[in-house]
Amino acid sequence: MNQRLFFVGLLMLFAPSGLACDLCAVYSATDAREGSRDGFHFTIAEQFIPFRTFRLEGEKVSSSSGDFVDSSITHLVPGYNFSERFGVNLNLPVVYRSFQRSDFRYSLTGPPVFEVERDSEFGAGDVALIGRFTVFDLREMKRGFVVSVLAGVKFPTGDTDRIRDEVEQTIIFDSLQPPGTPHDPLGHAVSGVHQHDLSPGSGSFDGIFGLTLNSRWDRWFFNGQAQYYLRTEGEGFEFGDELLVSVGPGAYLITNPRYTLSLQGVATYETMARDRVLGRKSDRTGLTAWYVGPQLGFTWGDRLSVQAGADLPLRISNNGFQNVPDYRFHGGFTLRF
Amino acid sequence: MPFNPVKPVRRVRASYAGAGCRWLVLLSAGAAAWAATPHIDHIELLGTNLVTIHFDTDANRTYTLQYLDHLAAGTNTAASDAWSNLTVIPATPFNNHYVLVDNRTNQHRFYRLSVTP
Repeated sequence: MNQRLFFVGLLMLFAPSGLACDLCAVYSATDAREGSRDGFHFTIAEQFIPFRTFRLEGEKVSSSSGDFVDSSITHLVPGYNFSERFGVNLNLPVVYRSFQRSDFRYSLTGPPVFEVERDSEFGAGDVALIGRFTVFDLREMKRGFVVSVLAGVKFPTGDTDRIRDEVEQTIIFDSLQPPGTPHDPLGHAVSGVHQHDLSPGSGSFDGIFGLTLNSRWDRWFFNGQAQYYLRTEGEGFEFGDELLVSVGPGAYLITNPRYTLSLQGVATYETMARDRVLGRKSDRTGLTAWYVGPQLGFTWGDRLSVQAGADLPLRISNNGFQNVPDYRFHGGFTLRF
Repeated sequence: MPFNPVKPVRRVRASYAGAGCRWLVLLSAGAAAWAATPHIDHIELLGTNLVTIHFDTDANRTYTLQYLDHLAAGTNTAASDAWSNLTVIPATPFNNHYVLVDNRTNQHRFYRLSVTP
């Protein structure tokens, strides 16, 4: 209840002094969402994904293990826009993952031990610094078209104990194989939940590149974004590069002078390449997925925007045996100062 | 590409002799045909005090690798309760290949693979 009151208080605090028309509200809403005016802004965004579906080479399968991951990542994103065209954001993720994984633990001193680990991981993830540059900016009362490019670096600040442990297991498992035997570097794992799936940090410096497109005509809009994560090796492990593209049309359902409510249909394509362990690709990693889902947007004046959406998987094609998302929920709000 | 996390080198040995030790592989009880039934693929020495036991597993079956240090002379059978479990491998939704490690604690040791269902 207190949180609710706090939220209502925030809305009142940032209420605009007076907006004259629906289009003004839409225009202001676009501005609030994109957050591109000069000055500070702060975003809190949450992504929750339950990984409770087992897939083997893209086919749904059942497993008696009961392994799962419920992954929650809260992004704290302070940012500063030096101008309408140029701004920077610092992404500070806080990772919480509740999980169960049933797997063998190999050693060089005796038989492997089958362990069922039911626990949680909590900690800071990898910090990222991302710059935005708007290459095309047309904002008028009736229409708008904005294209921005993003680039940044993700730093290896998150904890990587689990990745180190996974690489160590690979080294032990390798030493048990007859010389010259081809085998998967994650061949020691039988769980659909790998250690690297739980790790808050990647251990690597990664490049982040993005493109955003926001277009609007009257009450209608079409937004899209593409992100590419260029992964490098860290701690002996290299996550596969990742490409994410999401696009979709939407409309403003309510355009009150003070606030707006919009609904967008979003289609998302995501593909992750195979990970590498000690320089070798693992056929137990990597997937390509298609999602669709609704996204609601709410703005209050030009200082506050709130978004919430869900992605429902249409198709997931994965390598090997993996726990894959049941669905994805994401939400957040941005305050501009 | 079919899921095949480990592609073993096929070297079937019924027994391994070396350095004064003897390691014998027993087929799972009731085995009618070698190719169609679970079996230990091979056993190798690893360093001076370890051995590795290699075998394939089918999806959705539970495997138990068992061992026995002594057999009655002139037989290859023993009371079922004489066997001890080395490792139990729960059923997984995919075929796999295992390489399990055991200590060389005795001059000889016998292994067998029990499978359910």
